[in-house]
Formats: sequence, structure tokens, C-alpha cells
Amino acid sequence: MTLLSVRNLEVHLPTTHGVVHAVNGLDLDIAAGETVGLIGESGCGKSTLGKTLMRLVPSTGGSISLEGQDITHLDARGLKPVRPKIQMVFQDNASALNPRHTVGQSISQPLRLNGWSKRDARQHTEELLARVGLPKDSFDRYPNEFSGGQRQRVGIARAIALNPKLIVCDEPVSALDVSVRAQVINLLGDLQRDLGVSFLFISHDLSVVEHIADRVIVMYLGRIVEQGRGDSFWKSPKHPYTRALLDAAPAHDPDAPRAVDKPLLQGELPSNLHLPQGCPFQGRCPLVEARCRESVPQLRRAEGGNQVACHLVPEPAEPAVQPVPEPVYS
Amino acid sequence: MNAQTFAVDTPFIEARGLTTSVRTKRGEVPIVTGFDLSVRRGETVAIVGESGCGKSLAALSLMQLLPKGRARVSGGEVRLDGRDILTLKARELNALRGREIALISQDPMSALNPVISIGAQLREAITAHSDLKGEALHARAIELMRLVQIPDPEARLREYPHRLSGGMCQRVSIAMAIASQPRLLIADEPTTALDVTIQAQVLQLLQRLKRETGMALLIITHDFGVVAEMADRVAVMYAGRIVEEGPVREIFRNPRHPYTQGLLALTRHHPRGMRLPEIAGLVPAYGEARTGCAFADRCPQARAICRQLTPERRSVGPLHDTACWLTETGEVA
Repeated sequence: MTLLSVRNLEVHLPTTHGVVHAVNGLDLDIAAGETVGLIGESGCGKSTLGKTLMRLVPSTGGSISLEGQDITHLDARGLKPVRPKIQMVFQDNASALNPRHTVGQSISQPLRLNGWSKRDARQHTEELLARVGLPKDSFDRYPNEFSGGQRQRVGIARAIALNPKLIVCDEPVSALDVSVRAQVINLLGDLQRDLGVSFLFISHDLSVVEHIADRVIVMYLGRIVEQGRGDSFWKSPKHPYTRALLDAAPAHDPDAPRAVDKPLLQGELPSNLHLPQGCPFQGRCPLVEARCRESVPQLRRAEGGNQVACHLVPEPAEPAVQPVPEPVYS
Repeated sequence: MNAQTFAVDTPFIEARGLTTSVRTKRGEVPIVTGFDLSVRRGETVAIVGESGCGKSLAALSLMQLLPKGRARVSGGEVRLDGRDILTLKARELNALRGREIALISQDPMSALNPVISIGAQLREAITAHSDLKGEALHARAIELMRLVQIPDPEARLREYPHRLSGGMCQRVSIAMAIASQPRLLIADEPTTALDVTIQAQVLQLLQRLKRETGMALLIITHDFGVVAEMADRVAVMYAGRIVEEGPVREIFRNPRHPYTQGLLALTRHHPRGMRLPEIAGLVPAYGEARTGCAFADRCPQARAICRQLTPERRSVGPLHDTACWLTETGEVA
């Protein structure tokens, strides 16, 4: 069942330097209980997309529906019953928690705002703390008394307090130590199994996304350039950008070819103040052709099962489905 | 390139029994203890560890760049080309820094002065150890910008750091660091703040510069991917001590310390839906008083002796040693 449905979403943000074209016509569906991994370089619009889904950043075009309800233009009052359904876990857990509130206050605040009594909210918060693996006495302690990994657990407890349908995780483990990262990833996996919640998992760490995501989306300059299901995505990436991105990730193998002997993606993500005409990746693409500068390639199915937005990727041969034979009347 | 091409028997820089302490409210607390590490000419050594393990402090100790009054080397020695640099005067040290050893840091934005142009900062780095002036100085600045592959160097020299991306700023700080052709470049988490694509570019640049200049590289990182990409030799640090050291292939293929084994297990591929192997517990707090092995509380194989006595580093193979009681009696994990 489709939980979240985004159509032709556009987010253009006016700044003093001009209009930032953060998201430029993006379609996205997330099913109930599904984990969608979103990867791309910083500045590609992945965090802005996450915040727009939360209605924390205004969209300038397209629509966002949650459980069939169009939430694109809801006002504050209309959003109130929607808010508990989408929650967010932030990268910087230190600034995501109010340093003057105890951990208990931070977690129980959304409960209190949704009509829970003080006693019930406290009891439920203590259950949540246990659920995310924090000691019970954490309730009355302040964020600075916790390590980064523990604070991220607090952020997760707060995000699941109201039984959300979708949690947007924006780089949830990037700031954590390697040994603590696995603990938090496992916790997120357990929660998904137990609560049936969907995740939009934004990360630049490909190995984390590979482990956690059912489906992977690659963004470039505010557009999806490739998407695919977990297994096919990593096996047969087709877009030149996806391939460059996967190539750039360190191999964790001292015998793999080193960067100095590999052709690497050159240059950096261009400014999104002025979008190029045609394919967003044309400026860095090693395979660029004339048609790439003329029209924007649309996402379509490619060999191997991924959907790819690239003029150069051929369409797969017709699927081997036998047409229903015409009945023959004699 | 492999290490043997350049390596000679005498190390270029060598720390022995180095202990670095930080002043706190509770008095002086040792953060780095008994640090033994050497880097030979042209070699790339990686120090890998999690935050708070003391890897950056150890590197700053090698350059004598510790914050005055807050941290100091309280024991051991550092020899550069055989000369003890802990006893040098400030002026003698300044002659070494930049010329013999240079440093690039994790955050290139804060390593550059925001109100001085890129060109002025780069020229300052060049003139610190040379008499170049006027046209020659400008030409050298352009040459360095080309060397670190910054497009349109003339224009970039006139700009200020905020106009450049993180990757470009890191290139500028590398240009400044190599301005006086140091024989050792210490790179403290040089790519941590960068995207994977830009990380690959910067690592490629460092490998190329190394190949061209023959300088040695001491790279400090938390990322075994960077280690595999760059290092000839690896030292794994935990709670202020080196717990394992060896050639990079040996460390990846045959890690002997349970901490190294745990970290490397995390880098392997794990199918979806499977739990990742965890290292239970937390990195110990700075200067936490303890007896025995610092990793014992998180170690799945800890025994009684691990909590009583600190293990010394002992050889477990060619150029490979580890500080772990489990390897002591042949009961290898």
C-alpha cells in the first residue's frame, strides 16, 4: 500500500543570491513498512526534500499525499493531525535536542501536545527510553550528559513517541563513531520490524544505505537520476553518475585499485541557482552528447530493473511476456 | 607505489614512549600513553581510531603543536632524522615546521583565514621558507595551484576562502602545506568533511603528490576505507594507546586485536535484514582511570587478566604487533 505519494514536487527557495532550485520535478512513492535510501552529494537537494515532506520547507509546485490525503497546502491547523504521522531524526543530535530540557521533557513534549496526561506521558516515555536501550534514569538527565550515540537514541525515541507512519532519517549515523553506528542502525532495523514504520533514509554513506534500504534513489541537482530495488540497484547501476558515485566509495580492500590509478568523476556539483538546459549531469558526464544539452531525460526502465534518467542508456528488450493469443474461431 | 621503493632502515620520524597529557580540573591527565610509531621516508602510515582515542593529539605532539598551557608531552621522545625535537627551541622548531613536516587538518575552512585572500595566504606559506619575491613568487603560487588541480588559478588566487567549496579549500590547504616541499605531510582526517566523490579526488591528489615528490604521509582517520586506499602501514589506536600495528594487508587479512577485528567486521558487506555486528558499549571517556586493558569492558573475549594488567605490544608476525593478552598464550581469537 502506498503510504506517501509525491508528484512533480518542486522546491524553489528565494535567497539573496537568487532562486535556489533545490527540488525540480520529483516523483516518489513510499510503501508502508518500506525503507527508501536517498543518496547524492551534499547540495543535491536530499535534505531539502526530506524537510519538504515534513512540511518544514514550503514547496512551490507539485503535490505531497500521505495515506491518500493531500497535505501540500494544509495550514497549521490542518497539519496538526498529520504531524504525528511523519517524524524526523536529525544528523546533529546535539542541536536537535533543547539543552535546557531534560531528555524526558524532550520526548514527552509531543505526547503532551497530543493530549496525553502528565502521568501517562511520563510512563510512556520511560517505556520508550527502555525501547531504545537507554537507562530508566535518563528521564531526568540533560542531553549534555549523554554521548552522541545515546543522544541519537533519544532523538529516535522522540521520533517514535506518537507511532508515526514515516520517519525521515537525515544522515542519522554520519556524526557517530564507527563502533556506535552499527548499534543505531540495528536499533532502526528492530523498530521497523516491530512498528512497521517506513523510513526515508537520507545518507551519503553508501554502505549504510546498501545495508538498510529496500529501494535506493539517487538525486542530482534536485532530480532523481536513477532508482532501483536493493538487489538490482547495486548490481547494475546504469546512470553514469550512479556509477561514478559507487566507484568513488572506498573499497575497504588494500588490493583494490587505488584512486591514483582510476578514472574519477571530475569537478563538483554545480550551483543550483541556474539549472542547465537538458540533463542536470551534462557538465560532469564523461559520455555527454549533443542531445543531453537539449532535453531533460525522463526516468524509464533499463536493463537490470533500475529506472534511469539518461539519454544514453538503451531501453531494455521487450519483456518476454507472451501476448494473449487471439481466439481462433473456425 | 609501494613502501619498499623509498624505505630505508632509519625512520624519518620516530616517537618512542610518547605520553601527552592534558590539563583538566582534576589535574594533568595522560591522553596518549606509551605511543611508539615511526614513519620511514616515502612511506604512508595511517593512524586509525575513533573520536577521543588520542590520534590527533598524538599527531600534534609529533609536530610540537600542542596548545600551550593546556597540553604537553609529559614523557618519551620524538626523533626527526635522529634529532630529538622535544628539546628544540621555538625558533629551531619553526625552521622544521613546513620545511620538514607540514600539516593539513580536517576542516579546511577553519585552517584558512577568512579575511585574507587565497593568494596572500599561499604566498605567505611560500615565503616562510624561501626568498622568492614579485613575479617569481606569483609564478610559484600559480604552480602550486596547478599542482593541486585548482581550475583557473589566476582568478582563484584573488578570491577569499568563503567563495570556494570545501573540496577546493582542502586543495588550497594542501598547496600551502606542500609549498616548502616537506618530507612528511601529516593529514588529520583530510577528507572527513567531504563527499565521497570529492574524497576520492583529494585522496587521488595526495597519492599523486606523494608519487611525484616522494614525501612521506602520516594520515589520521577513523575510516578503514581511507586506510585501505592510502596506507602502507597501519596503527590502530584505542583509548590513547596503539593496540595493533602492521602492514596494511596483514591488518585487513589477519587482524589480531579484538578491537581491530570488530572495526573491520563493520566494514564488510552485510546482507539486508541482517543485524550488523556490534561492538557493545561506548568509547571510554578521556583519561578515565582504569586498570588492565582499556578495551576489556567491550571485548567479547576478555578474561580475568585483561582487567588486571595492561598488555604490552608484542610481535605476532613480520612487522605486525598487538597489545592483547589473548595473543600472549597462543589462544588466538
